[in-house]
Amino acid sequence: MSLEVKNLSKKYGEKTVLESLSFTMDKPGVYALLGTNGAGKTTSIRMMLGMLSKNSGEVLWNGKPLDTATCNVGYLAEERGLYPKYALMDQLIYFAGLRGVSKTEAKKRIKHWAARLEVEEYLYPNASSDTSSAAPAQKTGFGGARSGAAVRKKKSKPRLADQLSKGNQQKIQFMTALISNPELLILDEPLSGLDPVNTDLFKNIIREEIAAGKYLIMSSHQMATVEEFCTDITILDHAKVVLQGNLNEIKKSYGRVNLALKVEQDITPYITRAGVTLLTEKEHEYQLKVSGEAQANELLSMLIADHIPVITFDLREPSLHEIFVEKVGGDAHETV
Amino acid sequence: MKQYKEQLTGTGMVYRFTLTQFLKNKANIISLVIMILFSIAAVPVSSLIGGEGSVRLHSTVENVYFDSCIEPYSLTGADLKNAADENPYWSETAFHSMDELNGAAVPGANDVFASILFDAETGVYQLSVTAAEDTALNDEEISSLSSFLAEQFDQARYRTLQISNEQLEFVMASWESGTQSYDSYLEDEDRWDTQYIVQLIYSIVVMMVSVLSVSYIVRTVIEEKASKLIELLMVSVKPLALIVGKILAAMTYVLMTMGGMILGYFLSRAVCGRFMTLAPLSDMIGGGQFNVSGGLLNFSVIFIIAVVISLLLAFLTFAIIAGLSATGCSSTEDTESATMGVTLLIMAGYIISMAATTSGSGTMAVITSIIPILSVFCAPIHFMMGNIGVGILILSWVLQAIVVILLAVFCAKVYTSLLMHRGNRVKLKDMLSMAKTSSAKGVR
Repeated sequence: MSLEVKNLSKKYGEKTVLESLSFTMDKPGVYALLGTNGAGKTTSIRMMLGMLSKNSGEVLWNGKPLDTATCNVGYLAEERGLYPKYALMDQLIYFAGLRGVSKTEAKKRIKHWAARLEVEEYLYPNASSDTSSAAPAQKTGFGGARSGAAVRKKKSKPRLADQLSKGNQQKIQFMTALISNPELLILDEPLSGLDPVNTDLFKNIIREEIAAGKYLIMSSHQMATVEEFCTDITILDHAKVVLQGNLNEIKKSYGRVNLALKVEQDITPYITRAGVTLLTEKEHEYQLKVSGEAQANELLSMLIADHIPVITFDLREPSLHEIFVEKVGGDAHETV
Repeated sequence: MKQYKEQLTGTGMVYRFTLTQFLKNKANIISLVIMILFSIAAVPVSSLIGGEGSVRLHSTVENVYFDSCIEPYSLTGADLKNAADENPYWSETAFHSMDELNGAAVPGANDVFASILFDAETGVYQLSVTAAEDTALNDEEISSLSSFLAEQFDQARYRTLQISNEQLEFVMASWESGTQSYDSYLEDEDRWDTQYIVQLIYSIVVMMVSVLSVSYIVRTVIEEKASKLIELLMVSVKPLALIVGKILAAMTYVLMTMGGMILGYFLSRAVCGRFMTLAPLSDMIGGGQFNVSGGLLNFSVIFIIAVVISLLLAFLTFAIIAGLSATGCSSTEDTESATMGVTLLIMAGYIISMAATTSGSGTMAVITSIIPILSVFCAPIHFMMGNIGVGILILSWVLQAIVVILLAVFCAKVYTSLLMHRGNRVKLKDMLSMAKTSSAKGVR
């Protein structure tokens, strides 16, 4: 299987909102579309999914135009939405049905994902109330049957989307993307607005999907998350591709220039002497920018020569965040 | 064709889901129950309130004690009994000669005395009907009895003179002249009344079906857009399938509502008919103010087909316009303005159809039956009344169907762009521009 995006361009009147975006995914993994707000990420995704007309270009899945008929796509849109006044279960079965999943199969999958995303209490409100009502009945001994009957509540009404918190709504929306067991999963800002616990929950599922051999396209402003999952990236700035390729290779091309150094005394004079740029310092923990491995080793030699104990010496490539900021310049202030 | 088939994949799923949500919606359930209750209550309430205008199946007069002392014309209780046997309205009333009373009994609340005398001075027959002091009979009943007795007395007179019914018909035959005869005048009056009232009822039905459908379609489309669900849906289903599914669901729901109301009405009529006397349908349609001639109400199979086709075309026309109007909106605040334009169009169709009927002009009947939008209101009724032929009726359908197809093609061209639109309500000018762009590119 492969995904090919060729020369995708979009104009609104005279304004270009995307210029010649091309990339290929020839093996499963995560491809990141990065950029500042308004750079063209969501437009690219919408064009890939056929929601927006293209001025030029094509999107191929296994050599055929990408379509719901040719590819099983799961999509978590940037604009999250659910029918506010409809029962959650009805909505999930509907979305599954639209993707060709039978009602019986959909119910099985909903059960699985509800447990996985910890939203069972909203999708099966009666299941939880039955369990809770059964417990006191058992504890009360011979009077249990009577109390059980008294405690038995009338069936809870199905939960509606607008009764859920934003995070839980996002979980339901994530379920709609996953319910058809898609080959290609497109996630537009999947982790925005989630608390750390739910962020981890989402990340674990994304990891499982990668392990299952799925193709993922992810758009995010959270560089650390992208770095955690993505193998290849495209950085867009003002509708143009400014950087593209394999993330490791991009990083390698920058060289190992980030030095984290932890010592037990002030080493500022050594840093100055070695010509290293000091970025931050906190309780003798230094973040430094070096020109290369030679300069870093020179600084280390100076410290060892003067018998200064070195607790941490970590020489790394630049982070994606730094690369992003460098590439998009002043526009990066909007990224998280 | 294949392209359209692909575009419509998933319509069934959208239809089922939308219809289920319509049926589950509390507000819809309440309105449906209220409308069905209204239609059920309409029968007994209109019969009770409009008792004066309603025609009972049987007279409530139980006994008539009759005396006619005019020689040589003889009308006896037995004659009246025979006449009453042939007239269902009087079949349950007992007619007696005054002799049977023997001067002893006091008439009951539903009994009357009746006598016919001849005033030699004035040369006038006098019919007097006397009811008891505590009579339960109303003026209408007594008046009907008077008419019946007078009619029977006239026939007795003719029988005495040995004039047969055929001879009488021959003698009493009216003149046909170049000018309008009185009978013709009455017939025209009946015809006008019938056409007016049938047009009124049909136009109200078209208006109800259209306005209800429009409100449901607008609401469901805007709700979906405002909920930011469009992108999620468009991954799985094509925009055309989305709108067609919704239109069909709204049509089914409205038909179910109307069917429920009609069923409720006739069920109520069947039940109420067991406990109270009801006016015939044609009298109820006329409401006592219009002479609706049952003979002119030609509810033939062709007429029913004509009504169904015209209603379907009306529904499709207004539904597509409503769908477009709603898709151009982005928030629920725009619901009213999206509905307003289509509702005004429906109202205009209704008003013009009524005005055309009032004019009574044959040319007007043809014109209003051909012009799209108006034709769905006018054509079936003009056809039933014989104002237009089958040819004009079919032409009106063809023209309206062309309008529906053009609207559907336009909808297919702009619907995707409209769905993705955010911001102010899209105007017609912008929609035309979108359609132009879509045609130029030839791609979605």
